[in-house]
Amino acid sequence: MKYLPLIALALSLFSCFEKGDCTDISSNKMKVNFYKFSDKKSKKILIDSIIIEGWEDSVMYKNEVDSITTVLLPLDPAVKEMTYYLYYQNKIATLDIDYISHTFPLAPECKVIDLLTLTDAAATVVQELTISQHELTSNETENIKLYF
Amino acid sequence: MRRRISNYIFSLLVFATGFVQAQMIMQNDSMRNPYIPTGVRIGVDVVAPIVAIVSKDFKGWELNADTDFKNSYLVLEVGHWAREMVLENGDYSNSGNYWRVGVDANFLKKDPDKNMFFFGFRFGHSRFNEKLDYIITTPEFGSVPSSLENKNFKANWLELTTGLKVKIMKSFWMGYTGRIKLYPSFSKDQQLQTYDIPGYGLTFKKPWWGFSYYLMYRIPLVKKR
Repeated sequence: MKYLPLIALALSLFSCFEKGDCTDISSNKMKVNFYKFSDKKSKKILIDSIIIEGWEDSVMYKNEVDSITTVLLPLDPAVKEMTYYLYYQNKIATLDIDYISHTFPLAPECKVIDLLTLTDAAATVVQELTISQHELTSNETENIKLYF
Repeated sequence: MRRRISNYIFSLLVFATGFVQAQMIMQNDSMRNPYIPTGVRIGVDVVAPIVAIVSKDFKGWELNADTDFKNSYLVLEVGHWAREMVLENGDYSNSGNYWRVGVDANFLKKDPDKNMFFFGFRFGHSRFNEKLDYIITTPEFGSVPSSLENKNFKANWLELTTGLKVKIMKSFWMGYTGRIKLYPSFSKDQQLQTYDIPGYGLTFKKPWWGFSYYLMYRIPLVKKR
């Protein structure tokens, strides 16, 4: 019983140096899946290129051979809104994304991460757009559905 | 000058008379009513300075006071906490003051020395500033340095406490309080998410726990019968 205060003190000091979990769950990639508007099933699209407004020199996606059903679009953690231009089948669709960051260190001596959350999204040319998951995480779950 | 001294002496006499009268009233009351406090213990936590020496990135102190109402003690704890952390891609720092108020129920019911084995609870409140300087690197947009700050931030939480207090010599007690800290409450709307709350600790630890070891001095409000 008389050693109880000392044991509690040692545990207390030990807990001060306890390291947390450094697993990074954040991502700046937004997963966009393509669907047919008529039956809501997955649709393959032949994308010519995808360009980010303000970053026109660097084409973020270029594929003129294979049709795809999904694309990962990067968000810049330093800003709060981005516009993408999707060039496909002689059309240009515009995708506007608004988002917020929640910034925090994962644990002592770990990384600081920006957890990005979509707040609003709009598109032109395509039939419909819905946000299926607002938070961007490293497990690459679908964030946006685009209906053509 | 002489007039000023006589005024001073007169004020002292009035104060002393008032104090003695108050003490006599309290003494009489406490004989009738066990819920009238018989003294105030004021203490200092020795854990915070030890942690400050060992860890070097922490600075803090904590004071404690309690007063008895029969077998329950009203407890007030006030403290200061400042922390600096080096992270993989940045630096975090915070600094702030906190207080906790609550009640400890003493299970040593008829101890004339006011020794305690207690269980209790606290409500904690903290007001603090925190700052984060960091660099986020993405393959597409490169490295972006940023600085974020939360100023005059507030947080609340609850605690369950237990501990011992033992009289070691006339008017002096020592003992510890172990605490489980629960339900930290703070705003989450801002970009910099609160990471470390002075008085509570790391926000992602729910529940979190703490430990204080106090050296206490008792000021009697009532003369011993």
